[in-house]
Amino acid sequence: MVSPQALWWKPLHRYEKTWLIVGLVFCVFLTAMMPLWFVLGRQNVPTTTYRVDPLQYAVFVTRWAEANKVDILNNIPVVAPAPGSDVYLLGRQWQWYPVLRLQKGQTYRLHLSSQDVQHGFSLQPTNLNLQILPGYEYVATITPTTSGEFAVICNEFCAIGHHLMVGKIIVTE
Amino acid sequence: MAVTTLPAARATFRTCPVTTLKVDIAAERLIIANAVAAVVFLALGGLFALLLALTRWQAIHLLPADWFYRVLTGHGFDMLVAWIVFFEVAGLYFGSAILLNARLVGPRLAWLAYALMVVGAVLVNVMVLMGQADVLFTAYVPLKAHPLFYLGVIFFAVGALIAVLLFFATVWVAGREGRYQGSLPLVTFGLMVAAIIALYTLLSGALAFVPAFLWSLGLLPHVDPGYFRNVFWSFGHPAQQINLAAMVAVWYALATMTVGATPLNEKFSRLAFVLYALFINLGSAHHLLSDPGPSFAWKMSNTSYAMYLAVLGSLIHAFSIPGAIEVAQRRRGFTKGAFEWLRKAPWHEPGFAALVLSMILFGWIGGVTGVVIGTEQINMVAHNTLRLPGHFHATVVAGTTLAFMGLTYYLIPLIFRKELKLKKLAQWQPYVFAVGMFLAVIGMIGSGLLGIPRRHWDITFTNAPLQVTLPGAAQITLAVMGIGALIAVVGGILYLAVVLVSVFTGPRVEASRLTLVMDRRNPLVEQAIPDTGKEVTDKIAPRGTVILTFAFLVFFMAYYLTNWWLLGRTWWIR
Amino acid sequence: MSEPQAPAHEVEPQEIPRGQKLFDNWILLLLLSLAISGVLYNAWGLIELFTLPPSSVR
Repeated sequence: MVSPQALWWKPLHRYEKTWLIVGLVFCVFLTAMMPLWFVLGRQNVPTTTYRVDPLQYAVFVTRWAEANKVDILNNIPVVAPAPGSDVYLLGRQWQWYPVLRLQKGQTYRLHLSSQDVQHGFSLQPTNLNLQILPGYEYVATITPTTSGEFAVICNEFCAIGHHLMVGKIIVTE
Repeated sequence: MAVTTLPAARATFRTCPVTTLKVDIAAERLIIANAVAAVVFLALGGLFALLLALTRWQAIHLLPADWFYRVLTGHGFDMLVAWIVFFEVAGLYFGSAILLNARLVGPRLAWLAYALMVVGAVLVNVMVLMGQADVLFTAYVPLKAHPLFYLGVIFFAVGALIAVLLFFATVWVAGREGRYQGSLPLVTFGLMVAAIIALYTLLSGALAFVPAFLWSLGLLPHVDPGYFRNVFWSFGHPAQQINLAAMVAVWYALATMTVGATPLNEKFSRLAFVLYALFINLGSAHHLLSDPGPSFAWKMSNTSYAMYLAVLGSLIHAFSIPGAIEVAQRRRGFTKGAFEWLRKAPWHEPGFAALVLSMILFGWIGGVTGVVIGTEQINMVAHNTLRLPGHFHATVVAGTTLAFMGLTYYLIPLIFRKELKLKKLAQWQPYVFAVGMFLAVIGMIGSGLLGIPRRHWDITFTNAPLQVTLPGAAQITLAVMGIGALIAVVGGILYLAVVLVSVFTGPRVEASRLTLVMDRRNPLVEQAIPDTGKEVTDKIAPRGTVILTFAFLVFFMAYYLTNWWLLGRTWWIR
Repeated sequence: MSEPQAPAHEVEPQEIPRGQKLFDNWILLLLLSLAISGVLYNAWGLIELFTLPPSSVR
C-alpha cells in the first residue's frame, strides 16, 4: 500500500520461478487443446455464415416448409428433409419454425437465422446452444447421434413471450 | 486532527493519525459520496436479486413474467454497473489522492462526474421500472428501449469516464509535484490497471450506446446486431475486468491491513497486472464464441487472451497473495508444518475472512468455470445456460463484492471517521454471505449443466404451444440456488446494517488503529515485519502455498477435462 | 514497505533497471492496452463481420 523500495526489480524466488513455468506450460496446454479439437474433434462451433435479409429469409423458409411438409403439429408444418440436404430453421417471436424430422446418423446442413430480434437456439436435452442473429444466416453441419424428440428452446431474451418460444426436432432411428 | 495546506497545492489536507497519510479533504468527501451511492445501488440490486431468485426457484415462482424481465434488467445494471463502478470510483480517488499523499486534481469536475453518474443510474432505473426498457442489461438490438434508457447509460458512462481521467491526472500531477518517491505503490498500480481497462470499457460503451440511442430516436435506420454485440461486449466484459483488477488490488490491501503481508516480489506481482492490462480485454470474445460471423482463428485468439496470458496473470496472484500472507504469518512464528500459519490466521478479523473467502470462491469456482466455458468449443454446451450466471456470480459477487464489503469495514474508521458498530455482525457477515453465494452459484452451475437457460421466466413451459420437459433434477438445483440466494441476502442485510448503523449513529472519532478486532497497531507504520528486501529463508518460505496452488491446478484440470468429455457426448456439429 | 537503509531518493536514476522503468511507464501500458484490444478484438472482429459473403437464399 506504500511505495516499494527504490529498487524492486529482483530475481524471483525458486518457488515463484517454478510456479511461473508450470503456469506457462498450463496456458500453452489450454491454448493447444482448441486447434487440436478443431482438427480432430466431432463437435466444433460452426464457422459458415452468410449475410441475409431477415424478411427474405423468413419468406424463403415459409415457402420451403409449406412445399416439403409431411405432417402438421399444432399448426406448425413438419418437414422431413432428405439426408445430406439443406435444412432451414427460422426463429421468430415466439416460435421455432418449422418442426424438423431427421434421421439418426445422417448429416444435414442446418441453416439458422431470425426474422426479428436475437434468439438463442438451444437443443435439449442434448444441450447444444448457438446464438441466432437477424441478418446473419448461420450454417451448421449436424449429425444427430441420438434419437427421440428434442426440444428447441430459446435461451436469448426476445421480449415478453420469450419463455413460450419452443420448437421441435424429431430424430428417428 | 492536523489540518495543513501545502503551499504548492490548492487543497486542504488532514493527517491521518493511524497511517500518517495526508488526506485531501475534497477527495475524502468524494470518496464518501461515491461509496454511499454504491451501497444504495447494492441495496436496490440486492432487493431485485431476492425477487429474481424467488421467481426462478420454480416451487415459489413469485413474479409475473413482465416484472421478472423488468427486475432482471434493473438487477443487471444496478449490480454490474452502478454498485461496482461507484465503488471503484471511490477506490480510484483513494488509491490516487490518499495513498500517494497527493491532492485530487479537479474536485469540481469530480462532482460533475458524480452528478452525471447519479442522474444516469436513476434514469435507467426509472425507465426500467416504468416498463419502458424491457431489454435486459445487454439491450441487444433490435430489441428497443425508450431513448432515455440509452441516455441514462451514456450519462453514467461519461461521468465514469471523467472520474477515470481525473485519476490519471491525479497520478500524473502527484508524480510531477513529487508527492511520492520512486514507483507507484502496488495497490495504486493495480488500480492504475483497473483504470486503463476502464478507459477502454467506457470508450466501447460509447460505440455501443450512442448508435443505439440515435436509432431509438429514429435518427439512425439500423444498428447491425453483430456490430452491437462486438462493441457491447468490449464494454460489458471489460467492465467486469475492472472489478478483477480493482479486487486484486483490494486483496493486496486487505492482506497488508490484516496480517501485515507485503508483496513477496514486486516484479512478480506487477508482471501479473501488466498481463491483465495488455491481454484481459480480449476476453470480451467469450460472449461471441457461439455467434455467427467471426472465424475460428478470431474466436480462439481472443478467447484465450492470446495464449491465456491473462490467466497466467491470475495464476501469479493465486500464488503471490496467499504466499505473502503465509510469509507474514511465518515471520510471526507460525512455522510448524505446512499449514500452522493458516490454522492460526485471524479468522475473526472481518477483512481477513472476506479476503480468504473471496479468493477461494473467485479462484476455485469463478476462475475455473470461466476458463472452461470460455473454451471455444466447450462454450456450445454452456452458452446462455445458467452456467454463465453461475460463473459470474462467483467472480463478481462472491469475489469482488465480498472483497469490497470487507474493505468497507476499514474505510468506516479511516475515511468516515466513525467507530465500527455491531462488530460481532461484521465478524460473521463474510461467512454468511460466502455460504449463501456458494450455494447460489453451485445451484446455477448445476442447473446449467442440465441445460436450463438463463434469463428465462418459466422452464416448465406451461403455456407453450409444444410440450417441453427439462430434466426433473433442475427442480432441486434451482431450489439450491434459491436457498443460497436467501442466505446471501441475509449476508447483504448484515453488511448494510453494520455500515448504516456505524455511519449514522455515534460521534465522529479519529481511528487509533488499522485493524478492527485484532489487537495490532498499524502495520504501515510499525516496522516489526521485515520487508521485501530480505531474502525469504527456508523456514519462512511459503511451502503451504505451493501445496495449495498445485491442488488448485489438479482441480482445474479435472473440471476442464470433464467438460471436454461432456462436449464429446453431444451431436456432431461443424 | 520502504527499506529504511535504502530510501528512494538515494538511488540514482541510471541505476534503476530497464525492466523496472518499463513497468513504471503507465502511459505506455495504457497505449499498448488500447492498441492490442482495439486491433485484435474490435478491428479484426468487425472486419470479419462486414466481409461475410451474401446468402444464396432468395
